[in-house]
Amino acid sequence: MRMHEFRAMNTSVMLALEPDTGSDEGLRWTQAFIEECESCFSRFLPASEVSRLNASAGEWTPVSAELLDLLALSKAYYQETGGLFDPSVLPDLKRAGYDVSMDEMRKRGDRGGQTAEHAPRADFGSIELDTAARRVRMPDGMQVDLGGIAKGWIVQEAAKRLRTYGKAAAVNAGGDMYFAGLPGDGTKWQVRIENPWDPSHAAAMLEVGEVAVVTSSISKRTWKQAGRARHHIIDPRTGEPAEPEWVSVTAIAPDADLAEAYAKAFLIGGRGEATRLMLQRPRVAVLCIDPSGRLFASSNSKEYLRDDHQLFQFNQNESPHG
Amino acid sequence: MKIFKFGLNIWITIVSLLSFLLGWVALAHAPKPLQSGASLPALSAPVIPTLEPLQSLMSGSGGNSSSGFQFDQSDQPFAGSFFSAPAPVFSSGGS
Repeated sequence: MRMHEFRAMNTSVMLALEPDTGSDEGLRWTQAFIEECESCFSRFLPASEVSRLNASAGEWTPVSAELLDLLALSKAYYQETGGLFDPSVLPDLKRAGYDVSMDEMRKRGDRGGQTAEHAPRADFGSIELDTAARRVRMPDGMQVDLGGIAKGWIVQEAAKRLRTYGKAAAVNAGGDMYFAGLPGDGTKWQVRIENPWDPSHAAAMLEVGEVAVVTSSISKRTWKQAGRARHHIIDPRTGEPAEPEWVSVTAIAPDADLAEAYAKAFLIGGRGEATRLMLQRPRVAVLCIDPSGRLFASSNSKEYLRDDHQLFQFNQNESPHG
Repeated sequence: MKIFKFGLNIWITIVSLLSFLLGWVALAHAPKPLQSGASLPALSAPVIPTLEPLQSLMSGSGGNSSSGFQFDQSDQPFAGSFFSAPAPVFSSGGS
């Protein structure tokens, strides 16, 4: 298998292509694709499409077909998840100190005090999408961060394009991954779910086919703000970094944007929302790790687990099953 | 002698006239030379394969993209490492 590793989207990206033909053309094109997508969807680049859209809230703004697609998906997931997935929490994310890229934040250290009180936000569902004219109007003051869902979309599109150069391809961007085709003689892809407290160890091992695997966690992308530990998962209901029942949630789904949205919704919503979310999207399998290290799993996730695990159900406290 | 000279003059005149007329007819039916501004005859140029534009990657292989994306096609070296290895174990822990 031919591999290529580079840095993009403020994380490490790995491309894998089979068979190893000795030509790196497909890997190079895929890297160029990912870098171009990042330059369009990053909120940290002033010239990006997303930055221009944020700067023109209240007005109809022409957008690319790709951004329009992402906004339409985001709006659908926002409505499906009852607002648990909400890309318009950007003002609160900035207020919590995440106002520059994570690479930059790690260099700077403590982010100092909060700059403002939480202000009510416009409903993300009120964003207007004009598909025919390919333009968007966000309510006044709205700012969006498509970071997670954009990364999922990019990963999946990149993997599908990379696969045209071979039999099977995989793209992994900082733990968000999509697999196109099966490696070798039809064996499954091996995925290690990291132990949130010790990423070098596995909390579970998965064997998957052509799916997306996405993990949303409060143990990554953390920083200090005036001495307080902060993380990047904002609870849209409070406007503050979430205080979830899970430390990390891994979602396995047919599409990476779906996995991104539901991993975040499960993480923020906790056990109280888990059943509703599972009924909403039965094809999304989730594995959740709670602060005591217990693994909670949807029943459909068992088909992906390589080994026997002590699993807990979402409505269960003490006695494990499985 | 006079008669001979007169006959020779007549002969030379007739032959010159006929030669002139023959040349006129020959030139009138000859292919005309190319003039500047005239259209060139169509040439069957060899078909040269072209590389797929990078932007078309946005819409799948070879499709038309309605994307607003513009790829930077400058000859920048690609950063990162290329290597061959058995199928790896991918790691997912959030980013």
